[in-house]
Amino acid sequence: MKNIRFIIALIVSVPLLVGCDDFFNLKPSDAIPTEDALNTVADAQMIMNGVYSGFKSSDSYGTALTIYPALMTDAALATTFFTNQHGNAYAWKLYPGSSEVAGMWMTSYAAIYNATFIINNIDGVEGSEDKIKQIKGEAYVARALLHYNLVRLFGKAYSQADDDDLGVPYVTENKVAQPKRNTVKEVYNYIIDDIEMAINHLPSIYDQTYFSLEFAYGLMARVALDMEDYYPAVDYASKVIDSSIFYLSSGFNYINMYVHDAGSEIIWKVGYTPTDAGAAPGYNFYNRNGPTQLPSPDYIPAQWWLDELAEYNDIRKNNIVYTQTGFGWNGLLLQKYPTNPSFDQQGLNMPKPMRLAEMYLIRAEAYAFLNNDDEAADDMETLMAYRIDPAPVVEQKGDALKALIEKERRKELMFEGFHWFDLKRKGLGFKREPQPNTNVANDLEIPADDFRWQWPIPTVELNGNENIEQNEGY
Amino acid sequence: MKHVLTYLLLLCIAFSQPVLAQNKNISGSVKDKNNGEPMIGVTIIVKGTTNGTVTDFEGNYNLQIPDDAQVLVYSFIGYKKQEVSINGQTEINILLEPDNETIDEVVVNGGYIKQKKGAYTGSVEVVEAEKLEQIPVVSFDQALQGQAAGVVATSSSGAPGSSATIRVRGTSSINAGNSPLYIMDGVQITAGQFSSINTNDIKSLTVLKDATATSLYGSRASNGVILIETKRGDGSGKTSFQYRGQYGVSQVVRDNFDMMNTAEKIQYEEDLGLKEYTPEEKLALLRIDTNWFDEVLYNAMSQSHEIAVSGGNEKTRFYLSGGYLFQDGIMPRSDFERFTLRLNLDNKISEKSNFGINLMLGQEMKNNTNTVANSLLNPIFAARMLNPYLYNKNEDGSYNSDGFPYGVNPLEELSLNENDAQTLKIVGGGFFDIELVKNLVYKFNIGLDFYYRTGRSYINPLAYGGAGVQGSITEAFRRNYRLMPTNTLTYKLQLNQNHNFTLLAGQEALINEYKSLSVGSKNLPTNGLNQVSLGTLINSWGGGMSEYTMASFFGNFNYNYKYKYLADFSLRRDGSSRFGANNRWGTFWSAGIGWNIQEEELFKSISWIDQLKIRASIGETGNNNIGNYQQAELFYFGSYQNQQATYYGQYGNPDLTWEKKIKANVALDFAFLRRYRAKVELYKEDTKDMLFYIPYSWTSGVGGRMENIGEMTNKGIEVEFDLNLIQTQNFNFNVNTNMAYNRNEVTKLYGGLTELDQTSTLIQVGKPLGTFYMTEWAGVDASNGKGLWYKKDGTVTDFYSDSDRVLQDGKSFIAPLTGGLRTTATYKNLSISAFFTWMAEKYLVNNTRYFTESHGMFTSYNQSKDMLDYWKEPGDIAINPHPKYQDNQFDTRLLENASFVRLKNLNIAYNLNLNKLMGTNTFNAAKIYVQGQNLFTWTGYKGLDPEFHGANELNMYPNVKTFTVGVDLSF
Repeated sequence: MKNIRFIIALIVSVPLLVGCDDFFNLKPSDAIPTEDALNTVADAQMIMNGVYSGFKSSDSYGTALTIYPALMTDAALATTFFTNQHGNAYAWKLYPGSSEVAGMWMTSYAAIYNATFIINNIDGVEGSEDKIKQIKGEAYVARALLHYNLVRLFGKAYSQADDDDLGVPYVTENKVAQPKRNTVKEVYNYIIDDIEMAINHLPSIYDQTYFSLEFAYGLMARVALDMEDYYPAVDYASKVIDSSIFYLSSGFNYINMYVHDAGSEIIWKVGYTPTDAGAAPGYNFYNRNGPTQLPSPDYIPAQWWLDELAEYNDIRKNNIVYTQTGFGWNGLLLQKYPTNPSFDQQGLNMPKPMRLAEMYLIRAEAYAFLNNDDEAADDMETLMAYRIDPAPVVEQKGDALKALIEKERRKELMFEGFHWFDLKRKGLGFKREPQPNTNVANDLEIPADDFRWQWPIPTVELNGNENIEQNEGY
Repeated sequence: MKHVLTYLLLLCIAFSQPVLAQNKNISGSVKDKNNGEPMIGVTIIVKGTTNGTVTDFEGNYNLQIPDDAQVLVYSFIGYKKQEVSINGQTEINILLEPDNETIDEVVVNGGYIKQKKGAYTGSVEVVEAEKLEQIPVVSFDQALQGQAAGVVATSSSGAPGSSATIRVRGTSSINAGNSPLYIMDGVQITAGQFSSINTNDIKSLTVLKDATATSLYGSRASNGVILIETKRGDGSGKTSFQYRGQYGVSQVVRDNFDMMNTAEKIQYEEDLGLKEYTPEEKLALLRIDTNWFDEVLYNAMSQSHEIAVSGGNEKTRFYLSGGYLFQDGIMPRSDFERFTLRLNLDNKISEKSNFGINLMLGQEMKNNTNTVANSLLNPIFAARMLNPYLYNKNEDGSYNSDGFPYGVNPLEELSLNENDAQTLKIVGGGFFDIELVKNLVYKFNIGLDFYYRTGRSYINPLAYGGAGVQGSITEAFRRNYRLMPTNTLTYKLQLNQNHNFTLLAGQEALINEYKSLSVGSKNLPTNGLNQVSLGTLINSWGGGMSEYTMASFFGNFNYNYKYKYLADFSLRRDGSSRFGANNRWGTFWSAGIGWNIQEEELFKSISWIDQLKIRASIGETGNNNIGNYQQAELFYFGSYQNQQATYYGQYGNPDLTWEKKIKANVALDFAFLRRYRAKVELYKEDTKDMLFYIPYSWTSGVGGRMENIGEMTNKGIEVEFDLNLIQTQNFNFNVNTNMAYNRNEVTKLYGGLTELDQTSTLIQVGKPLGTFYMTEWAGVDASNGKGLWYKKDGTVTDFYSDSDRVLQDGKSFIAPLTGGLRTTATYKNLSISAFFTWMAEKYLVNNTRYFTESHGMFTSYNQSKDMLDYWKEPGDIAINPHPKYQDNQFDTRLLENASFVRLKNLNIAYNLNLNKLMGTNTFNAAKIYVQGQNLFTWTGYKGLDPEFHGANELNMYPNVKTFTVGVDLSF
């Protein structure tokens, strides 16, 4: 082919050249035309892998979705000498033009497009029917999850939203469009539809690094809790707890879950390999390049949270470590991302967006709000028995029990992508308390009605979508 | 305009010397030595005076001369100047010989045929070798600034061997490229890769600007064309050797940084409660006061040597040159070394046929310092941010890193790691021409542009950056070749001695292929050995291939009547693989007319007018400078857990086609009194079907796609004067100046949209591209020291939001006003020349101040002295807010006027008569010179250097000022 082109170019042959499409029809050597992208089940698996791949990004679970929900609250404080990494989110200085906001939006909708491409085009492709069904199910749950994260960031919490409060556009078609924002309530309804479709399609085959039937149940439980639909929350959380695939861990197994990113508690983790790793979620809690260097943390955990953790003889105290820092002082640093030994980037552990412990916490909270204090206390005792030695007895009732559940939720899930969303769904503000070795925005107070609880619609979307409405205040 | 001209005329005459009484008559004719044809417009002057005339259409002249006149000087553009003693003669007939060395005014019309400027209707600028050859920069593009009206060259980095950004008549496209097309001896060469070309091999640079001049490159010429002609041997039978040598020293162009010293920084830290020092600690720290700029910046040496041999006879001519150049950088681990070789050969096969080859080899080796803009390991950033109470080296010469951020001394880190690149560039070509029948010439030309680049990046296991991976090494290879064969037929015809026709038809094709490969390994030995094979684990890998093709057909028709009335028409059709199957081909055209008024009988009698020419042109050119496969709808590849992954990557556009530009140009050339020359050009260029990346809602999967939509206009005026103010036997004084004003305006976006947010700039219909779009800083609240901003409605707020950004009308990062001024004075053998360049109404965001004047955000690092002046108590009228608020935003506080005037070059040269000195006749010429480059800069810009292309300047590698001494010898 190349020689032909060469000869054509050399020879003075006017009519030949004009007629020769061959000279111009060049195809890229590292991309495929859309019409060839999805013909077999193997193609579908590749596109689904493309969706998963997006979660590795620092704009997704790789960093933002995993640690911002702590950095953006009173649970974390920036050290005096921090490098301003994630400083805009930390100081609540996010604007329509901020890259954090744009990155979240772009990464999510790009993945939504690919999930939708699978859902709308997979039927009838060459290959095993079971596998087609499974991939389609994964695509449904992916689409639900992606929208779920967006609506919680850009819209009001479901529990706080009026019927006409805007969420994000729910996208189910592959086309060039300028959609309006759906309301928060509409988005939640679509999410439920998609999760139900996923549950209908997903087989009971289980792999921690891919979406499973149990992940779909777990997501439904989360969504139901947001919506304060406590019966379904109990039901779906129970489906996961009773699946006998997952077990709570204690002792070494608990520690190992954070070091090696393995264990029976993990419902879904974003799969990293040494030559195919995503962003390091915990980098900024140590901020160093090698294990022999002293940490120079950008962020340290808040004292009140450390105090809560100090209440009992608690295995979760392993998530913090007292150490010397490169700044000259000694202090307690977060160690939930202690660096997986298979990797060399510091702070690199696989994000674990859903663990079994959360299911117990969801069910306990749902039971408590259904005034079923006994069942709630049972769940809390079960969880706490794996974490605390000797296991405490839960005798609290009513509001005291609810407060206990909230506190255990903070101890269990902090720095794993929950706290900011929890404050938001409960309609709470916060105030940071200054503590030693911090000085940046360390007394920030954000009331519950601050407009910045809703992230701004990014400029990149406004540029291409006339129908999108900006959030109030920006 | 008329008034201005009249005024200038008066001014010039006022400075002229008194006209002498004329009382003797001399006449004759001037003919071309080669073909015996009469020559029109040859200038004849009495040496040492301004008294003279020009030949008429038959080549005859008649001149009154004073009694004491001794010598007549005959000159014509592109011909060797002749001096003839009068010795009482009343008729002198002259044969002028074409001069291959002096190309002064010979225009290379599209490179395909040559035409004399006088008979040309296009708009071109010629930059001769002598303006480039001694300038101490690695590549010619860096020497272009201010040399020609309408050509803006900005060198955004002082790193040795870096390239400049060139714009001809403004910026005309948003998403397609804005770089001109570069043609070297008929071969298209890659822009921005000129460091491997030896500037001294260049005979001339010709900048083609308007539609007529660029038409024969129609498809790719919308951003202008820069033709590079290299030197060739002459046929005199004599071989000449030339040696050029140069030594120089460079330093940072401006040193206007003003950071806190130790006492100030300690005070600042204590005042803000960041640190508490015991008196002992303080005393210890106060003993150290490091000026980190002194630690980071060096005086850098450079040298270059070159030998050129040229010569030949009637049959074969040659030019052979070899050069060596070394430039050290002013920052650690940065230098550039280059070897070049050039061979140009011309052979006359017969009276009717010629062939020739051009071959250039350049091998360059470069060490790169860390230039990551916001990395603390970038030495220029470290120089700003490192605290003054840290010191660089211990007494034993080892690096100190105590108390450094992350415990890393950036200079130690640089010394441990390596980053270098080698590039081999080959540009070669050959041609063959034959006169098939009388006046019909067929020419075949083939050109190759090739480069092969290898880059290495080594991170030492002992370095901070290498600790996690136990050291890493990455090697990357890139190769590009472009092949371009051209066939042309040229026919010349003269009817009745009056009608001159030139017809050209041609065809050409272009194939370009790019390949790359890279691999990196990690876990290296700690002894400094650093080959990829030594790593025990793979770290990264990559590589790819990409290609594009083009094919073209073109024709040109050129006519003049008695040299008086000129006309030129061109047509070109191009196909490009980059466009959709529906719209691959584009047709481009141009038409130009000209009128040499001085040839009219009425004007011939006005002896002081040498040239008065009006010309105009209009035409359409194209632009295809986009990615190779943007027309296709594609899925891209990625991976998840080492499994194949694909994702939607690009919307296709089968209708994607050429961006088009209508160029119109009107010009006046005026030369008078044998000493003054003026040129005024007016132009308007309308871009339509602009290649524009239309933003989509991200719910569409990707951020947009490339479409042909949107319009933009550039209009402007260019003025050029060349004034020989004093012209005597021994003393000459010349002033040459050019200036250009270009007004850019976006005239249409897509779908009724009137503005498009580009973060710090805004594209708004009716406004110039690159206009800044920022929230206005409103100063400090005197009651509480909080920073304030203006909201969009004009009210003041203490909460910054980028929703409050407003258009900073009239402030664009693309300077609309640019120019250059050269004055040359020669006295006998001594010459002094000063060359100034300037840009006006240029704005820049000084991004560096975001860090050095961070209003409390980066107080753990050193800060500018200005930060000491912050609000302290209620009632303070302070410039800077209290640091506790950290009011550090990309607001108008960082927007600065970066207009500047720069003494670009000052050169003092002396022509030695070595033969006389040494009593031999070995030498033809010898010249010694000293010069300074970038000696002075006048600007209000607070950063290191206003000469930067782009909206945001952050820690650029500062440009350098260079002092050199050199010698040119020929024998």
